[in-house]
Amino acid sequence: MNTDLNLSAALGRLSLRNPLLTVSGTCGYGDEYAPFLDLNRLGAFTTKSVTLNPRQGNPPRRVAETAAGMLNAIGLANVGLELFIAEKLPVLSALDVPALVNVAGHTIDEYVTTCRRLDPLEPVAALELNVSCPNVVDGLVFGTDPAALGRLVASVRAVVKQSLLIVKLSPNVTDITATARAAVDAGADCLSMINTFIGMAIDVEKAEPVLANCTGGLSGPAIKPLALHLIHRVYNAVAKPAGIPIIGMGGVSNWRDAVEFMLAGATAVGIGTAMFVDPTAPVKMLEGIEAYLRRHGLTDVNQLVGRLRSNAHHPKA
Amino acid sequence: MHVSAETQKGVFLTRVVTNDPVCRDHWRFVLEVRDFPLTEPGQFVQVLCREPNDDATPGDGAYIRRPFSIAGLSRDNRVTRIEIIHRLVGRGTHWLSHLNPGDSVSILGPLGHPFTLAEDRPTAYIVGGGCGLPPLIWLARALRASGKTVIAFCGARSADLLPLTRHRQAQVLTDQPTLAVTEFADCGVPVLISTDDGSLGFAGSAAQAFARYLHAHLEEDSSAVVYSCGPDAMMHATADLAEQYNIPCQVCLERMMACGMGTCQSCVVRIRDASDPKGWVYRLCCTDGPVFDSRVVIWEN
Repeated sequence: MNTDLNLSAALGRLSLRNPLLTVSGTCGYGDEYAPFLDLNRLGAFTTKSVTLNPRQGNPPRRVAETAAGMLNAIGLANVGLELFIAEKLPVLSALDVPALVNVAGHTIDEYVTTCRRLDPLEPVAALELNVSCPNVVDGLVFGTDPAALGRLVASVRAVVKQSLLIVKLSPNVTDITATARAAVDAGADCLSMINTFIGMAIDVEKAEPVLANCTGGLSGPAIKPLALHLIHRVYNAVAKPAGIPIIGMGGVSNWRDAVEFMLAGATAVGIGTAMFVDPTAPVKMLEGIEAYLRRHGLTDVNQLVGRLRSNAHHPKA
Repeated sequence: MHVSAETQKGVFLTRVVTNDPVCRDHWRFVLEVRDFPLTEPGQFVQVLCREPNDDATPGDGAYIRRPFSIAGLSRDNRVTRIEIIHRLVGRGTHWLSHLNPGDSVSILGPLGHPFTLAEDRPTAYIVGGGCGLPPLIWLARALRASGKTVIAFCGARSADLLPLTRHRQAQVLTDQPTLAVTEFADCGVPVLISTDDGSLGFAGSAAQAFARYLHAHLEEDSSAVVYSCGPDAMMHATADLAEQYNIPCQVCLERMMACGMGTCQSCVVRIRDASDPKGWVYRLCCTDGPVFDSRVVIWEN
């Protein structure tokens, strides 16, 4: 069908059919979207966060729409490691698409135990460390402190032998290149960025927070320019020099957004909140990317990665 | 009815047929769509309340889809007409109220579990309030089509907020269901209207009107079933009443949700579960519901 175009991408040694993948927390464990989207059309499937023990999650209300986006405070609701392995992994095994399993925890031991158990299992192509979920009490510590992050990644690195190790960065930091560098130095194979920005909404009539958790993670088109900037910074300062691929995410809603993220330095692009609006978005976006490549006389989607040109030659006023 | 076997649920582009106010703050619109999958009363659709264009700026309208129950659905070969009645609440519903015939609207569906038409129970009581009334209109038609006797209790805060059409000739009584509402009279279902302020029909909630009716007409009716949709307090009272009379009751819940497909985990409802140490677990309104057996719901009102 696309014999003249190469759409395949590579995250280190993991090759993807195309550079578009789902984002943790917006796509369940795979079976939820099956009635709406042929998951084999994706480059990879990223699961919702898995924790060692099951988590009920936060009380409602868990979501609030904001201008061009939404806040969520789900609280890492998930079935827990063992039930995930027993019930959810078989669904992923049946797919012809790499499964990236997102792992969250409260302590280094929890991350290590969960990753050690998942690493050798057949459908697990990559483990993505969620070190930045803003809706659990101490999840942010790892994501915002470069030294703590380095210790966590090094400890997990020691037990992860088969899977690609991805670290998902929090944007809720002063200098994201510091946490990116800490993750890479500790052995991360790949960076995914960014997780949600912490935000809140207030019901003025009640003079109360809208979310039961008070704060939540902001996602959607509202954060796209912020995500793009952070990817651009990390690509140039850390990822490109180290030869580490970036999975870019944050408000990507259409093919144009995906191309922007790739030009800024992302090797692959995650589609998160936009999946809530249209679960077939990846298929439509892929068509848009193909048309863009043809229009620009490009033959390989990887030619887009970091292709951003300087506009310094423009005449100054 | 024609539903081709290959129709899969998902995103559908529809065309607006009509869009008109029903009563104060409530609108009714009808969408036309080709090859829409098999859908049953109680299921819902997620409506995109902005231009159905990938590149549209989401500043106009709302970014996330809005869930709406279906007030009526008819099919003519491959064309399905879907009727939605809604209250103006925020950005999304205001955008919808400005639609014109011929405009395009993107919907996602059908979603959720429908009402169960209890085959062994010849009598069905419908108890609904405000924005909970729309799915009960379609349910009433389906129940009548399957030969049931149906009596409806329809409530609103005041007469001008009742999103139903008054039948001109029929009288509204405070203690007796009559054919006073066109949407229900058309399928032979008498309605007892109630308003919180007493401006029309019985003064009180639909649950209170139903309680008085049950008390006057029977002690226990094992041949009946109750279907309810509306404010949680009204459904809670209806559920308690049904339990008291030993009548099974199905409630159709509404919760804030983002996706409607079971992935975002926003629309949690506490459901009784003896196997859990707490005695309850969170279930999702979108995919485990929105229709639940009232006995398993832990009410938060």
